Amino acid sequence: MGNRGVLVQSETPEFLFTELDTRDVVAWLLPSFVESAGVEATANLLGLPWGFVLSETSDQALLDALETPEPVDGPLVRRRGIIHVVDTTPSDVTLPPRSLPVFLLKGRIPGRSTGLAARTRRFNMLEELNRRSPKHLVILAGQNLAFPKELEELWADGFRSLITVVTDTPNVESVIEDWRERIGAQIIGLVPAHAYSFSDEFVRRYTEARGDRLILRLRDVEGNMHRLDITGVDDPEHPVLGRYELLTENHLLPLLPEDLKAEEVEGFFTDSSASWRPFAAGMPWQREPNAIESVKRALKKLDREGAEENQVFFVSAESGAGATTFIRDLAWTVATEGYPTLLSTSAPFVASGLELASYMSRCLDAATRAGIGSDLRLYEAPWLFVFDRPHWEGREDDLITFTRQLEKSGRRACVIFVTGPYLPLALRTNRRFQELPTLTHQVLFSDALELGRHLNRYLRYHGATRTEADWRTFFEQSTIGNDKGIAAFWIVISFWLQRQFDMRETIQHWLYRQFREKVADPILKEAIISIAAMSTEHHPMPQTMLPVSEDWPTANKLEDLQKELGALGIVQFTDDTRRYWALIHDLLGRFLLNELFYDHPARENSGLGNAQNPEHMRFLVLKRIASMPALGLDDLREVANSFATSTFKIDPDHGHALFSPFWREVLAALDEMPRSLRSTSRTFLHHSAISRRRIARDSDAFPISDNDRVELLERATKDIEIAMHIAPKDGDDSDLNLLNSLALAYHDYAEVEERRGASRECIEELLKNANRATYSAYRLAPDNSFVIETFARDLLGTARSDPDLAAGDAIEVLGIVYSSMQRDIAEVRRPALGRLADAAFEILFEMADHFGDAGEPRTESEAIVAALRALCEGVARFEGMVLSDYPKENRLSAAERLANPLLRVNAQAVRLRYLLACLDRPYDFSQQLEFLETLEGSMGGLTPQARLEVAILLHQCDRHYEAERIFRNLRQLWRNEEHYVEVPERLRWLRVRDTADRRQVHARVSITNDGRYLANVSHLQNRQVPFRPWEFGQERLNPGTRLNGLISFGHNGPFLRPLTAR
Amino acid sequence: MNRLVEVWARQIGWPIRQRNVILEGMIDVRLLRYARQLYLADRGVDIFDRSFAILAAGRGNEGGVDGVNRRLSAARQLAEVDLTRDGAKRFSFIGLFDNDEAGRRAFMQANRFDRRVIPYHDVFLLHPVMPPAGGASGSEIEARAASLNLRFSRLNWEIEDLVSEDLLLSFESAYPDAIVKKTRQGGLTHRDFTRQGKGQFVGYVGRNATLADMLGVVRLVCSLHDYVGLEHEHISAAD
Repeated sequence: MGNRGVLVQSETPEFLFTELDTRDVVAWLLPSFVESAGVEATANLLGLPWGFVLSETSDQALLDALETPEPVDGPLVRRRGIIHVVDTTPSDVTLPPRSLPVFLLKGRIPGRSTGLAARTRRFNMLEELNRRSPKHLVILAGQNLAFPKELEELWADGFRSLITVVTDTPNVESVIEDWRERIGAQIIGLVPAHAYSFSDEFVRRYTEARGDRLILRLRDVEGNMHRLDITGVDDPEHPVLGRYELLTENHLLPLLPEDLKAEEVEGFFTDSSASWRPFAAGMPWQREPNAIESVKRALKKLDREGAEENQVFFVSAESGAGATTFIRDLAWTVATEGYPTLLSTSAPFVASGLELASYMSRCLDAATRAGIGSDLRLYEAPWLFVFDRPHWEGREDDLITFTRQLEKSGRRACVIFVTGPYLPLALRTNRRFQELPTLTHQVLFSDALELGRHLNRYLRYHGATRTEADWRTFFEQSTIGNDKGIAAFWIVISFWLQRQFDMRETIQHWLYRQFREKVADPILKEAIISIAAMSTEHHPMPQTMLPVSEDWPTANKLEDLQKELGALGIVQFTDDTRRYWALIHDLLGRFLLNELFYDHPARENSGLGNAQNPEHMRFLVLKRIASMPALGLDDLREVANSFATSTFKIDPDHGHALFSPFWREVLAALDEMPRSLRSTSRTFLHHSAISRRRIARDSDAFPISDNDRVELLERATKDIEIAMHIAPKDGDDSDLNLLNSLALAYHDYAEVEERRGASRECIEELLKNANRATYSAYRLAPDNSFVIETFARDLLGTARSDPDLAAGDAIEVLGIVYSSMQRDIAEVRRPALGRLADAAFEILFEMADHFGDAGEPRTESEAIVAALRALCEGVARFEGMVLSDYPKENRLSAAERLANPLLRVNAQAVRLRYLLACLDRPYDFSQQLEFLETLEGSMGGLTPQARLEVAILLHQCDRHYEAERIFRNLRQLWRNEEHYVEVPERLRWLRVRDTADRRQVHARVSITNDGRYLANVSHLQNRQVPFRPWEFGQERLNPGTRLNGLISFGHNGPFLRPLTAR
Repeated sequence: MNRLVEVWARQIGWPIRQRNVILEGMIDVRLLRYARQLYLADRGVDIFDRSFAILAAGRGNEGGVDGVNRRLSAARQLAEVDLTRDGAKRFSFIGLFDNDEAGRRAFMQANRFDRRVIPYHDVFLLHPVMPPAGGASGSEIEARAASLNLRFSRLNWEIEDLVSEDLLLSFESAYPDAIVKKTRQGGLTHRDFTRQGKGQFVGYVGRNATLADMLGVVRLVCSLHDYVGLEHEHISAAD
């Protein structure tokens, strides 16, 4: 080293290549470099996967070379996308997620580099340095080094990065040293090489080590494994593999325990997502062997059946309980069996089913072109998609859309995702979600010993085995107070096995001690505290949001500290344009923050002196992050929205209770987030409104004045109204969800106003708004259980305010509620639905008191009340009761009274009669059909669920032509819109008239092309019905073959099944 | 220090202690408190341990079986992160449901939201004979509950049913409209009260009950202490 701050490197440092791989290095090209290296060498150099390039030259020959079309499956294109030469303000150009922008700082046309427009363009291009905050900046200077003057200004403004200069200018060290001292950088790298030789050598060394191809292991219909080269399949500009990791043949080669190096064994304990080799060596412990069997069964089912059988599995797990290792192990095992498997990366993004379906289709085409399975039955191997915890948190409903996109594209796949220990509502209300075992820190003693024996198989090759006595001691010490204290078995074990932690103090003390002793720099402390707080919320911290250091980039300091502070498990990862930081386990973040709270001086120094308790302090750190202007930027929208959807959500009943004791501060923190977010994000506005409504609605948990409630509800309704006017972006909340929330908020608002004694006009106005939103939602999805609840609530509002409509509306509510409760998915909504039924009964009983016990009803209302009175005879408590809970004699008596001629065309009464008939005369299909047809006649239309039931009932009653027509329309409807329907159990099969017996049918195979098999079924007036030949024990069936079978019904219509089907 | 769970408990008006039992409503809480007062007055012993509290899930619509689940879930979320410096949980919460249709259903639902909620460890159904826990696992206690209550397997059971038959009969004479239905099985009677009748009954208990009338409730208090890991052997609930 000639000068203290100039690091002279005789050859290109190796880490530059790694930084190119992660797109973390940017080139600033000076004209003198091109002059020395020549156009071709420079173009080759610039074609490497830089984060982006700033070019001071607009040499036409160079631009021509850069803009020469490249093959899209080239190795460099796969890494960095296509080169885009940008000669305008960057914000005017929409670049694809993966690309290599070359910003022409002086524009494209010579002579147009001055003037206001040119200066604006240049400043905006330079601003990209701040926006993307690359780790490393390489100045390609050639023979004439002149530091760009704006770089000095950027540095003064807080931009920090490693800087390396490539130049062969003589005696340049002192120039660099002077410049370094002037700007205050700690160190500057110098590669004293000629431009051409540097370019040539650099490109050669980078490309020769990176020619890898992607080989997928793929099964055929008989379970034979094939190797499929899918190297060029991905879209270079919108790469699926930029967001997902594909398990390739390389990852799947089995290894022996002794094949693992010591650092691989240790690395597995530190971060199990770092390498697949420990998985290939069988290192993860099989905690729940049944789980893999469930997933394999689902995939095998997809081997035989269509995309409508796609399954979504979830793993509910305590923080740090090993969910990441668990799902990766599942993924690896499944991939070895030839089911292509993709795992989401850690960076936040909105997953799209369409994008994956398209990728799957391209791989399928590649398989077809490669002739895989061409001699066998047409087959498409199902895929597995695996998501770790952060991806769907707060957006579980979107998973349904995601899987429907796959289903509509006809692509077969299973999904596994991780969720926390508190199951979101969506997972409990939708049968599509299948539960895999819950992972906790509870471990049985016998299991701990078994785990010890298992891990010793890997540790012994590195002299690191633990004796059985060690394991006993560890178990006793780590599980003391498992029920009462920190549950962290799986966290503690990793440190203990690495011999970092000896169990002599709590893991929390130990961890914090490391932090206190090894981190002195206040900026780094702040950065780690912020990363820890974000990690507790399962969100990574974007690098651009780290606090700025004066001397050295904060990110580089963190990197230096990573090894030294291994205990904290600081990790970094990138997507195509951004770098993120996180702690490997969110629990580590919580430990750190908890202990910081008790370190008063450190807490004071961190500006958190006013925290009331550890959780409040965690909130204060998150609040500080939430207020950062960067969260107003479009590209951090996902992170910003998460503050409303989960971090600062106040909804104790749905897993968001932690900040409810200081909810006022939380709402204020949401209001202090960047204005550009608050005014343009419909998701943010909607979820903030949900929090406000939850607070206003729960009078026991949030005892505030009605004035406060009105304020909250007024704001909530206003925010949702604004959100309705914002066009939805990818992953945004749907109109349906917004309308439903809006209707509920207006209802709550009206209720509080009524209690406050507001004017009739005011209340009516609010109810009118509620009604408007309700009907808009109802039009979009009349079978959605949440919409149904809102609709029923709206009817109750009308029933209370208009005595003439009261009986009719109340019975309609009962009809809606009981029909909804019959559906399996309604179980968790039962309390809410039950409350609506209670309210309806209350109205009816009030009317009953009014009518007295007079004999024969004279009006429709009296007839309704009489029928409901019969239903409730002797029933003391209605809470959550479903129709089948009422005594059978009551139900029969109520049905008899509902048959009163006064109610013959009363739609609500007919609906209730239908429900009662389904319960008490389940196979009297003619009667049930008659009720639904009457209902259709009097209401002028039915919901999709009711239309589905009509279609099946028509088949049951041998009116197949009409049934087929309705199913045709329904299939069209399912294609175009999202509806939640299900086939009731009694209608699942075509039955012998008026009995529970399934009807046997004769069929003859008619069509067998395109992998679709149809048969004419004589019992369905020779209508064509699909079937699967392999269910009949045949791979192929020729036209004309006769079959005997059963008919099952799904939402798409009848299906021919073998006589043995269940 | 304003600790998390205490701040929240103050907000919702809960007089929490270290070990807490959530009941469906205020009427249940009042019945247990009467039993406590009568025992204290009669025998000079407080049957509530200093670290024991009973809490009503809510008032009116906010309570009930659904209320137990909702409040239990919020309480457990907060208790999970409100730890001592050594990492021990400062508070624990369990829930008790009436053994009727709604209670049984809510009991089944209790761990649908948080899979770590264990039946007969974190949530309990009320039985005529409450099973001893003694550190056994939830499934073992559940099996004990089933075998001890075999004779009453189809009988609904609520806290009001624990009051002496004599007092219940005298209440029936005083308030003939308060009870909708009576069901007998295995020598025990379950009464379905009207909504208003429940309120009248608890008032009646407050005015007329003796300790002898409330020994069934005292036994329940002992069981609840057992379930939250507190001593109760010093309390005698023998007739």
